Amino acid sequence: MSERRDRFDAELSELFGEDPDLLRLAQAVRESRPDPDLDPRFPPILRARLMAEARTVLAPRHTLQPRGAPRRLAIWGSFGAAAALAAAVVVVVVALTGGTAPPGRLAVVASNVSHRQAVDPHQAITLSFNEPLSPQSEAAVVSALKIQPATQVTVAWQSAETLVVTPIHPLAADTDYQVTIPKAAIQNAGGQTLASNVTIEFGTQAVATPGPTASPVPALEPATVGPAAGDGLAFWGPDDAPGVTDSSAGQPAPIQTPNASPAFTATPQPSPAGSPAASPLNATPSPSNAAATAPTPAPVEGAVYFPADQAPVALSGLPSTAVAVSPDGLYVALAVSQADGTSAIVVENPDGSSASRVWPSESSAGALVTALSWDGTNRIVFVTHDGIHAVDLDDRSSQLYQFPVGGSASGVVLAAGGQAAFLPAADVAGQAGPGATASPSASFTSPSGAASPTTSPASATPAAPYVPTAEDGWLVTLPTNGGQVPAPTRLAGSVSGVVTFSAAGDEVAWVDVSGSTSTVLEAPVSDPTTITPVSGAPAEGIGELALDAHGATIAYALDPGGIEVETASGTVLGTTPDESSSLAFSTDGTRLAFVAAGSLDVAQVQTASAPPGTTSLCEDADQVLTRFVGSQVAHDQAGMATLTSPGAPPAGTLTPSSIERGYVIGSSCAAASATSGPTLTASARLIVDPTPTSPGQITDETVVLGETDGGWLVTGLTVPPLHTQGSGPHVLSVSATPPVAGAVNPESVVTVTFDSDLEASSVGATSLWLETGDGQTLVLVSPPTYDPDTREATLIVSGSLPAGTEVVVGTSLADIDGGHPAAGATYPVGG
Amino acid sequence: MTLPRAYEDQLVERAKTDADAFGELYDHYFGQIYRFAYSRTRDQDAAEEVTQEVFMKALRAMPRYRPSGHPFSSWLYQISANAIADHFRQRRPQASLDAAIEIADPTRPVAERVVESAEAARVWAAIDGLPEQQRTAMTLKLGEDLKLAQIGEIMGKSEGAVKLLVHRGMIGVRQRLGVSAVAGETL
Repeated sequence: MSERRDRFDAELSELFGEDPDLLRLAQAVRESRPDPDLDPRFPPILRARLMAEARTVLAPRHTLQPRGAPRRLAIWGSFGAAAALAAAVVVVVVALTGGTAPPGRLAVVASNVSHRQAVDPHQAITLSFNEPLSPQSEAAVVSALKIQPATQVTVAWQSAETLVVTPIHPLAADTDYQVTIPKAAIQNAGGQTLASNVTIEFGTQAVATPGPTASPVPALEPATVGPAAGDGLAFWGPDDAPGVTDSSAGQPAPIQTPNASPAFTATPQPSPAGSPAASPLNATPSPSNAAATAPTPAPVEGAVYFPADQAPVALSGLPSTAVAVSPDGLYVALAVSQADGTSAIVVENPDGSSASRVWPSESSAGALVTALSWDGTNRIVFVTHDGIHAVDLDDRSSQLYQFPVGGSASGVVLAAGGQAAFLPAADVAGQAGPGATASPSASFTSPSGAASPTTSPASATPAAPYVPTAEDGWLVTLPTNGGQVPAPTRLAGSVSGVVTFSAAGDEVAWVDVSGSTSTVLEAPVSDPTTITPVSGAPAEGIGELALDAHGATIAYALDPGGIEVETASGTVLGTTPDESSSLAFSTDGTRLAFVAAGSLDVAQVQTASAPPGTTSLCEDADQVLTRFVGSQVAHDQAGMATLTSPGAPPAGTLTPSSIERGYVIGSSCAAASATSGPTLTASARLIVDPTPTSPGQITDETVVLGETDGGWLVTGLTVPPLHTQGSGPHVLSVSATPPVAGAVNPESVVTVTFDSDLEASSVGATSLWLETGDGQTLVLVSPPTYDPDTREATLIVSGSLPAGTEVVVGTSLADIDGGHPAAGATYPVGG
Repeated sequence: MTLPRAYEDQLVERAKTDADAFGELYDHYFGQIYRFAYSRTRDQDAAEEVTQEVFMKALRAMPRYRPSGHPFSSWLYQISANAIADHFRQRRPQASLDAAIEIADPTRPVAERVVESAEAARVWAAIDGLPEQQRTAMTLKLGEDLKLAQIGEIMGKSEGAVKLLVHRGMIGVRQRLGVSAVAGETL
C-alpha cells in the first residue's frame, strides 16, 4: 500500500488548490489510510467457494435445457478449498506402453475444455502432457491432430509438454466437438507411446459469443426523451407517445400549458355522461395552486408525455401516481395526488384540457389510488387501500373486490384493460372461497350493477378461510358487467412480488423464487394454471418485469445491471447497462420506455422476431414449437401431450428418452388452403451428448403444426432414429429474409449456417439448392456464396419463396477435411 | 497493478463462462475490494462478509455483465458500495464517533496530527461520521486513489457532483476534528 501513498494525486490539487490547509489535510488523510487487517486464509477460502459456485453459475442460459452434468474419465487432485479451481480442468489418464522404458508409468493429459459443456467459442484449447514429448512427436502431433466438426485451427507448442489449439474462426455455438490425436503420434523422449488415442470432448455455449464478423448482443441505445424523477412512472400516452409522471427533476421545454390544471380541493361538478371533453372541471383553484394558473409554465410535477415532433404535453399540474389512456384514445385518466395524501381520479382530453374529476364524489371520502386502468367499457378500474374499484365517466363507482382486514394496496398489480389483477397473499387472507390450494371452489360476488356510487363491497359465500403464506400470489379476474368476481387463482411457485401483465392484459408473468434460483413463469390470464417457464430468464437479480402486447417479448430490470430484453424463447434482443426502473412497452412492442439516471428514456426494441423461415402468419406457431421442443428436451410427457393434437403421433413415445439438448433448425409456414388451415413445418435437432463410453448422437425430426380451435398444436411428428453425429458438415440453422417492400428487384435471401468449415470450392448450385414442396428446383439469381468467417452459405432467389420451400444439402458439399453430409438432408425454410 | 485494458476486456468476456477467468479477475481485484470494504467498515469480519457478497453477486451477474466503457473494477466497486450500504443498514455502527476522536490533541494543526498512526484511526473515524455519499466518495478518492470520473461511474453521479461530495467531506472532517479538539479542551 505504501507505493500508492507515494504517488501524487493531481486531482487533489485541483479539488483543494484554493484552500491550502484543506489540501494538506486531504493529503495527510490519504497518507494515513490504514492497512486492513486480513486473515491470510480468507482469500483462498473465498476463492474456493467462488470456484465451486462458478461451476453451476457460469453455464449456458439459452439452451432449452442445461446439458447433463459433465462426465469425466478420471479426476485427480484434492477438492479442498484451495483446489476448487482445478475442477475446471479434467485430467485424462492414458497408459504409456511400448519402447524400452520401464512399463506401467502413466502419462497425464490435461485439457482446459475436456467435458466442459459451455466452452466459449473463442477459447483456445490446451492439452498438457506429464512429460516432454520428443521433438519428432511434437511435429507429428501438430499434423495428426483432428477436430470435429471440421474446423480450421492453428496448433502450436507452448512448451514441450503443452499444446495450444486455436480456432481460426470462432467455434460453432451449441455444438459438440471432439479433438483427437492418434496414439502413434505421441511419444516421449524414451520412445514410450500411449495405449490409446487421446480424445477430448467438449460442447460450446448455446449462444455464440460474437466473433470478429458476428453481430454482438445488441445494445438498446435508448434516447433520452425528457427529465424524470427517480420514482417517476413511465407510461404510454395518447398516440403511443412516451410519458412520465412527476418529472420533478426538471422541466422539458417548451411545455404546452394545460388549459386547466387546478388543485382538486374545491367543489367539482359532475360531468355529463361520457363527455368529459365537454365538461371542463368546474373546480376553484386553491390559493396554494396559484402557480398552476400563472402565465409562465411551472416546473412539471404531474404527468407529461412527448408526442413525436411536437412540444411535450403536460397532463396535470400535480403529482400523479398512475396514468392510463382510454382504449379509444380520446381520454386520459390520472390519479392525481391531493394535499391530504389521497388521490383524485381526473379525466382529461389528450391535450390536457377539460380536466374533470370523476372520483371521489363530493360526498364520499377519498383514498390514495395506487394503480388504474381503463376497461373495455370505458370504466376506470383502480386500486385503493381497501380494494379494487371501478368508476365510469358518469362518476358512478362500485367496488369490485374488497381486501380483507390486514390487506392493502401494496403489491397489487392491475392488468391493462382492467380485466385482472395480481393480489398478494394478504389481500386474499381470510376470504371465504380460496382454500389453501390453487383451486378455490367458492366464488366472490361483486355488487349488483354499478349504478350506485356507494355500492357495498364484495361479499363471499361462507367457506373455510384461506390461510396464506407470505410468498403466495393470486390472480383475480374482474368482471366488466357487474357479474360475479370469480375466486382468485393461486399462481404457481413462490411469488417474489415481481409481477407484470402484458400490454394487452392477456398474459401475466411473475418471478418464482421457490427454487434455488429464480425462474420466470408466464401464463395466459384466462388460464393462469397453464404455465410456461420463460427460457433464458436471468436466474436472479430481477427487479422488474415488463411484457410486450401479448408476452412474446419480455424485459428485465436487473440489480445489479441494466435492462435485458429477450424473446420469450430466450433470444437476447438488446441490453442497457444502467440501473433502470418503471419499464413499459409500447402497445406494438417496438419501444420500451423506462426511467434511468434522472431521465425518461425510450429504446427501440427489435420485435420478437419470428424464427427462421416463419412469417407473421405463424408467429404463434413458433411459440408452440419452441415449447414443444422444450418439452421434448425436458422429457415432459404432459407438456408434449398438451401441445399435441388428438390423433397425432404420440410425441412422448417417439421422442428418444436419452436426448439432452435440442433446437429448431428452420421452419416453413404455409397459408390456409381450401382443404386445410395454415401449417408450420419445422426441422428440429435432438442431441445426445457424447460420454466417455459412447459417442454423441443426433436426429433431425420433422414437426408439423396446425391451427385448430384450441390454437396451434402439433399435428405431425417424424423422429428418425438417433445416429452418431459422425464426420461431415451439419446444418445448424436456415433462415430466410423476404423481399424488401417496394424494391425494384425483390429478392429473397436464404442463409444456411454450418457447424464445419467448408471447402469453399464445394459450395455451388449442385451441392446446395432450394426446392419447392413438389420437388421443383428454384432458379437462383446467382450461384450460392460462402463466407468462411461465419460458416454461412447464401442463396438468393427472385421474389418470394413459395410455400413449402426446402433447402437441400447435397453430398458433394465438403468440409475442409473432406467430410460430406448425409444423403437427403433437407430443411424447411420460408414460405 | 492495473490490468492492460484490452487484456481485461478479454478476460471479462471469458469470465462469463469460464471459471478460470473469473478466478483470475478475483485474484486481481480481491485486494482492492477487500481494502475498500475494510476502509468503510473498519472491521475484519464485516470486510470479509462484504467482500464475499461482492464477488458472489458479481459471479452470479457475470453472464449478464455488459462493458460500460469503464474499468471492470468500477462495477465491482459499485456492487461493493451497495453491499456496504446494506451492511450499515443492517448493523448500525457500535463504536461512538465521539469516543474515537475525543482524545485528539487540540494544540497541533490537524494536518500534522493525522499523519501519525495514532491519529489515523481517529481521522478515518471522522470520515465514518460523514453522510453516506460523502463517506463513499471520500473513501474511493483518498482510500483507493480512484479518479473522480470513475467514482462518478461507480456512484452514478457526475464528476462535478463527486467533486462536491469530496470537498464537502473534507470540510466535514476538518470541522469534526476541530470540534473534537474543542471538546477535548473541555474534558
